[in-house]
Parts: sequence; structure tokens; C-alpha cells
Amino acid sequence: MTPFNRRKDGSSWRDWCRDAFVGALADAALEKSAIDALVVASESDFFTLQLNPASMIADTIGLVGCRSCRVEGGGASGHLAVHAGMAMVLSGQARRVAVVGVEASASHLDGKTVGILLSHSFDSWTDGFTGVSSTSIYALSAMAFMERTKATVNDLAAVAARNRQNARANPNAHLPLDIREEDVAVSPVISSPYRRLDCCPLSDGAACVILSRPEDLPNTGVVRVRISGTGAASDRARLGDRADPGRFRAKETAAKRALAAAGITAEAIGVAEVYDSYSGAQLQALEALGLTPDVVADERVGRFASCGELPVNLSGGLLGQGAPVGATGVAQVLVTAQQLLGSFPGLNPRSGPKYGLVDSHGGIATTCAVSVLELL
Amino acid sequence: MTKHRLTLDHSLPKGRLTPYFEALAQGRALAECCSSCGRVQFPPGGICGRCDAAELAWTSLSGNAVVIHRTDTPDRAFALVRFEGAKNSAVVAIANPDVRSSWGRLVISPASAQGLTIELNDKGNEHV
Repeated sequence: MTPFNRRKDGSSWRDWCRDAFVGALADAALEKSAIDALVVASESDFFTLQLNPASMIADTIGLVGCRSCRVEGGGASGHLAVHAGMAMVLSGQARRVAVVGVEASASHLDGKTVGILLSHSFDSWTDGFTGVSSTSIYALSAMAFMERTKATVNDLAAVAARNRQNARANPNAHLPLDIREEDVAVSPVISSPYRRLDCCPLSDGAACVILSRPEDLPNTGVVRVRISGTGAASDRARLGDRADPGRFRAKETAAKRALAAAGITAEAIGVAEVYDSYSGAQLQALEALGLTPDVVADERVGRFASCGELPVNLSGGLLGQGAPVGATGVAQVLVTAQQLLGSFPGLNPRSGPKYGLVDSHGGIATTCAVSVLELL
Repeated sequence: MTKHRLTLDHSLPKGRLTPYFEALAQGRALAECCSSCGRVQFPPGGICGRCDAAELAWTSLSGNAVVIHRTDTPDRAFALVRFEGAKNSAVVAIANPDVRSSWGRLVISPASAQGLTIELNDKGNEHV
């Protein structure tokens, strides 16, 4: 993956795709000619001003002639692209699939315009036309969650600070900040109760993973990671149409499906990268994923800390590592695999877990994707 | 670095939801009522949120709403509200964010923001 940040070096999104792809090829010890399919993840053509990006990226990275397609599912685009690539391998349509996620959501447009575009990630005919921002919709959901679970703004601030601290060890992170809860509490209000440091940044960047059956990869003696279970589900698009607007029901369903497919229970998960677009969303996600019987109590005793029983977002998550939307889910899969291998160039889990969980969503947990990764 | 400007001027037909949007433009709350189970939902969604039936009839609501949760930005405020008579809730803009009240009423949205807007009643319960 490329660094996630706000690019000011004159490089283009096409360059980032090429860099991420070349890095993945080198890591897999493959030649470009070994790739027979390309799946591209990108949320919005408005950011790149490039429709049909899959064919353009295939052309740019030297995969002309390959089967190529683009997958879009909001913030889950990258993760759903991994699922699509995996389906190609399992069905025999391809032997080695490159999944490239990319987004230029930080530097190509001004922040206000990006905010208007992202407000149409929900029901654009109602929420979008109201002018409500993503942050306000997430804030309303978080308030429902906080009312039910008695989570406080201090709990949210603890997540925001910890993920930025985790990111400090990650060379690719957008916001590796040395901050504490009190810094979050005095940052500007964006949409109450959310403050600036409760929100993930808009980032530029790309990430790539290569999917294949073990027998179709070079026998380099390197330990690899298997995707042993996937699940996906969708929820009502409008917060107001949900029985509990603070609960991520589709994520619950996606997680159950992924764990069942992997043949394990949530207790077997030893590390997780979850979709923390906002600090409260991380707690809502952990609850929905079934990784804790009491998310607030576990948050307060440090269970999700880097040295805790279940380290969460060691990369820094979206809050710290960053969020170039189409690349986000691909990077989540990549860093979780690296954490299982112990090769992540940042914080790695101390316990040497066998299973890791990856969680992404689009909208407000409207389109959810969960994967279970297993160290072979 | 090159600069490009793209100006878009969309025309978006609303299909079977046209009566809802026409009423909204007049400040009226037109809801869906499920022909199968009787559930009333506002805003409408085209399918019953309880029984998934697709046969829905239009029914008028008072437009009064109770605030469930409210969020404030530096210059605007939004809320999750339930309109009187509806079983679902809705995200709305608050026309008068300086007022702290739990009660409001649907009003015509500004031309630049065609979603749902409520005006809070300044004599309402101030629990939010």
C-alpha cells in the first residue's frame, strides 16, 4: 500500500495504483504476467474525474487483456472488492487476482465539496437533500448507542486518542498523533457530540492485495494468510427506518456469516481491524461484531488496547491510518494479514493470534463486509 | 497540476414518490400506509418496513414531530424525529436551531435544501 495522507507531492492517483500494485507483486514474488484478473475498488468517479476506472487502471499498471471490473459499496468498496476477487478465484474464473483500491478524496476537491458528495452516501432524496453531513448522521446514531449502553463522550475520546497513538508506529498512517483524551475533548465541535478528533480524515492513497489458491503461488517457503470466511449484509439506508438507530444490525449479520463460514466463534479472534470512521462507530462495530459481551465495560478495562486481550485497530484504523475510501477495505485486509504474520510495519499483536477479523461498511453500516483471516 | 471545473445540473424524476415530494414542497406530510398491516411510515420508502408489502396507500399526517436525538454543528442543527402518526423516524434539518425544544412541525424547506425541515416550537419541552 502507499502511504495514506493528503498528497502534496504532485503524484497522481494512477501513480498510487501503480506503486501499490508493484509492491504487492514483489511481496507475492509474482511477475505481472501471472495476474489474470483485476478488481478495482473506488467509491466515486467525482474524486478522480475518471469513469470506468477499472479499464484505465488496467491500462496504467500493465494489465491490458486481463478480465477487469470495478466494485463499489461506499466505505466497504475495498473490502467488497476483495470478496469479489475471492469469488473469482473460488469459481475458477481466475487463478491470481489483483485487487486494487484507490481514492483521491483529500487533495482533488475542497473539503466542503467532498462533504456534499459524501452526504449522498445515505438516502440522497431525503438525508442528502436535507444537507445533513456524514458526521451529523453518525452523531445521531452514536447518541442512540450512548443512550442505550451508557457510553460517554470520554469513552469515545479514548478510542480517538488510542487509535492515533497506535498510528504513530505505522509509517503509512495519515494521522499519527501523540494525543490524549483531553485533546479530543477540546477539539472543535463538528456535530455534537462529535469533535474534530472523533472523525477520521479524508485521505489519498491506494492499496493492493493479490488473491490466489496456495497451489497457484510460487513456493517461496513464506507463510501466507488465508481468507477463511466472509460475510456481507445490508441494512435500511435511512437511520430512521431502523428499529434501533444506534445498532449496526447488518454488521451483526455479516459477522455471523463470516464466522460461520470460517467455522469458528468470535472468541477465536485475536486481532481486529474495524471500521472506525468515527470514534463511536468503533464501539458500535465491536458490539455488532459480537467481539464483546459488554463493549463499554471492555473499552474501559483496556481490552481493545494494543497490549489488551483483543487488540483493535493496531494500524490506527481509519482514525489514524486514514481513509482513502476505495483503498480503505483493501488496506484493512492487508494490514490484518500482516499482523497475523507479525510483519506489519507498525504495532503487531503480542499473542501471535491465529485468526484476525476485518470489518468495513458503507453508508452508516448500511452495506457491511466482514472477513475472517487465518494464519496458515 | 491542472484545474478542471465540472458543473452539474441534475433533473431527478421521483417516480412513484412524486406525490410525497409535491406535498413536501407545500409543507405537508404525506405518508405511506401499508394496505396489508396498516403501518404508517413517513418519510415513505416504497415498501412496508414491518411486513415488506409493496401495496401502500397515501395518507396525510399532521406534520407535528417529536425530537428523539439532536445534533448541532457550528452553524446548523439536525435531529432524528418521529412524526405524529408514523412508526418510523426521520432525519430532519432544524429551521430554528437557536430554539431548544422537543417538539416541532414540518415546514417548507429552503429551495437549496429539498429534504425534510422542521421548525421547533419554542414553548415545547426542553429536554433535548
